[in-house]
Amino acid sequence: MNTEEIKFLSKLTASMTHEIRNVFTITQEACGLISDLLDFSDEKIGKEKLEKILSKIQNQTERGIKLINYLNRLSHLYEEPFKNIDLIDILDLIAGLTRHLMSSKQVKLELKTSSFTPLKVNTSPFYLSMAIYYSLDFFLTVLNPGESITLETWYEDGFAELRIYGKRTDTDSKIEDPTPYYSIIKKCIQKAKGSLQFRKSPLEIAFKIPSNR
Amino acid sequence: MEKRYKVLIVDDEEEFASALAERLILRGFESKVEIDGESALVSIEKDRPDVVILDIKMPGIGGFEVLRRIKLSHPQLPVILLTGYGSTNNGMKGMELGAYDYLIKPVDIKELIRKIEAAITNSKSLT
Repeated sequence: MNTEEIKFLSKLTASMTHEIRNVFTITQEACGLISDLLDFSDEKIGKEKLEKILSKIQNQTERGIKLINYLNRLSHLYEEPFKNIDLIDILDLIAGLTRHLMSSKQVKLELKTSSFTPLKVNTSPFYLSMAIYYSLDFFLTVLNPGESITLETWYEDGFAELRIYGKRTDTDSKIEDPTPYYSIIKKCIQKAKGSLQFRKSPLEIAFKIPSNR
Repeated sequence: MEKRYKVLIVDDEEEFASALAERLILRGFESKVEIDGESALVSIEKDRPDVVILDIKMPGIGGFEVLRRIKLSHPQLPVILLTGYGSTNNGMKGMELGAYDYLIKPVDIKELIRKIEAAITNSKSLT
């Protein structure tokens, strides 16, 4: 495994564990508050107050379970170097895993899927997800807060196509050198048995992978 | 009447910040929450807190930028940073930028109170 693969796994893990830690931080604080209200307050804790705090704990538990499920799905996905997967499913997974990254940059992520669901491809799940992740990471360097990234898929002539593009709210385009990202994404998509098209105006990354639908 | 010191908590995780604020109120502090850096800077001008508890990782202007601006406009205002596990580097960086101290999340309330009291005592001795 070379540096880029290790970096990718490191970024994913850091992002997910940061979110999971937030879940436990909130839960701990909420439990601490219940304990404090029992210790410090002369009055009984009101039912409404207790329900409010318990609801926080419940929400965080659900949030944590969702995050763990994403990680679990990811680890099972990487079990085999090549397998038949649903492209829509992997996009949903990457969207879930990058939710925290997107919200920290205040960028919205939209999925536009084709009418052919599922959209089956035989590919390397690891390198495909790495290509998608780095594409998203690239767009986060060129988009401003409040803007959005769209992932659009469709099937055509034996290929599953994925288009990734950003919606800008201003007309100025940042002049960015995409070379470092381009070379990583190209290597990944080739290892995923696909091909890459990169367009500068409008800025767009497109993958094409053979599909058995 | 004993003075109630004012603590401003700045963290984008509102559920965490509001629970922490309530726990500080139960312990005799006045507490306010802001969930982003810009609102925090406005709040500091308006309410003049005695200490700021500041999360490093926030959307928009991040914790370090908020810290930098606080140190420019209110150099005596102590700031205690909140950082994630494995990010002691961030804590150290924050101290170099002028933070009074830092804590790693999840936060131990007793340790936080100790640091708040020490920060307030220290800032009073400097004025």
